[in-house]
Amino acid sequence: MHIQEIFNAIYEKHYYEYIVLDKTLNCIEFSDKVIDYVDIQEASQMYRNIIKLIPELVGLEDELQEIAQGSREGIEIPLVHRKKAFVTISIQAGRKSRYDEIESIIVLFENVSQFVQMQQKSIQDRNDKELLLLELDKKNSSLEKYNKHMMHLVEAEIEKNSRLTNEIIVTQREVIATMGAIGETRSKETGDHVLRVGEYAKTLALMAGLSEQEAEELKMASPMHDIGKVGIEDAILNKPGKLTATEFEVMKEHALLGYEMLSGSKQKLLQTAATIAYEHHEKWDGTGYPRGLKGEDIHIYGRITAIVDVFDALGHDRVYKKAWPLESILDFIKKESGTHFDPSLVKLFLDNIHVFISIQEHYKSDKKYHKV
Amino acid sequence: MITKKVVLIGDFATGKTSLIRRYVDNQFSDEYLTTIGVKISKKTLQISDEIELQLMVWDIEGHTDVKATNPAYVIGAHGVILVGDITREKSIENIPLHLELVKRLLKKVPIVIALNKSDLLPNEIEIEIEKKVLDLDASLPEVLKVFDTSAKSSKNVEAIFITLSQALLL
Repeated sequence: MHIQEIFNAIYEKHYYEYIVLDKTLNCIEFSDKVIDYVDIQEASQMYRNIIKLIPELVGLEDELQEIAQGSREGIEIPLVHRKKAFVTISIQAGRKSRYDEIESIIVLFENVSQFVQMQQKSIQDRNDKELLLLELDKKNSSLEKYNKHMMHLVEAEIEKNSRLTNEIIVTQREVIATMGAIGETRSKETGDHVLRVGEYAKTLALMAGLSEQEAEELKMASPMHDIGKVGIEDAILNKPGKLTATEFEVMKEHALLGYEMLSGSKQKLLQTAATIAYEHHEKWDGTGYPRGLKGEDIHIYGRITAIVDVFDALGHDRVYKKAWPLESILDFIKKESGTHFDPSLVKLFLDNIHVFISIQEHYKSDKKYHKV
Repeated sequence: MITKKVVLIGDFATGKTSLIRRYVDNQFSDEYLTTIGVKISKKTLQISDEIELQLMVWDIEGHTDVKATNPAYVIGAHGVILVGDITREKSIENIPLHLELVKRLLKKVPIVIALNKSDLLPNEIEIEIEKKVLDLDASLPEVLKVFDTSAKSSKNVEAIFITLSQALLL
């Protein structure tokens, strides 16, 4: 079949346009509508070099020569965007048969716009999806970084808060001990009394089955049991010898005064201290003051503090008395079990007296303690 | 007039079309429309009174995991711009892969690299951008120069084409 017949056959399918070149790459023949794909001005002149008509062939001069000489099969440039259409440009040698000499070079334009239209949406969707995934990855990675940063900030904040809380606890403890000591100092007693009372109270509380937290709270709060004494006049507070009935009535007010001083606070620790101040002079049989509470109506903190306060006070000199020997103190506590003191707490106290003595030994700041 | 073929090669959505559009038409759009096949744009530069350079700039469909760059588009190129998205690590990691294709298909031609979309990175990581540029520059001795570019802000867009054009005329 002559090459012209092949062109005619191709051309009838309407998808193809062509240009025929001579072996020097000059245009010698065009199909009717090829003008859609080439430079019109250049194509209007015959024998123009093909590279002037098709910019995609710039740089392919050597390859075109190779086709003309038969040393290269052909060139195909797929999916070239051209005036709102897509064409695939193929360049190959034109011969009558594969055994004949090359007569010409044929440039074929295949309109592949329909194919591209079909492909375009799926390619666009695929790329959009890929970009979205990459964007998500980036966001995730930023979030991860942000989370790590936040974690560091939170950890630093927790550490700071924990440090501050500890400082507050230590300060609170010191303030409470100091307040307790103020009360004691006003009555010319040593500040160590309140510290020892705290330590005994915690020990007895644990023996009585209270939790570590409750026992610690009692330890911190009990040093303030006599804070109300700051409101008692010196003449009564520091009177050597026995108080008159009237003076004793004044002295008894320190329990209520302490309660009023402390109960205004919303802090649990100070409320506990208020309860202790209020109830540590109550007696198991209801003969105590200020309210005459009885038995377990007296808060266990008050019952515990009552025992350990008396234990420590009797063992040391006061303005109105000399320190008692340990044996006398223990006899007194035993005697007061069930009347003044909670009998079950007295039993625990006496059964473990060695523990309390060792605490007393530990403090030793008051050398006036009289061992038997 | 001297006519030269320049191809832009890189991963999809790195901004090849936008760089060309900014350079040739001085326009920019944020909308992403994937390039299919190839589109050629012409840009004429007056190098001197006597010399006029016409660039045939090939905007090639971007490389994806499922469709690599078609070698038919690269053959015959006189100069190459490899494009990566500075905000997308993988597109930068793939630049050596594109460079291999160029070296396989073309004899020694001038190559520049555009790390595009630098406008998307905040100013405070300017040092990071410079580091990426320098690292890539040092690792690819065949490359004339690495630029951080922005088709959006025009940053270094003219510079990549000018640098390449000067090399094309040597």
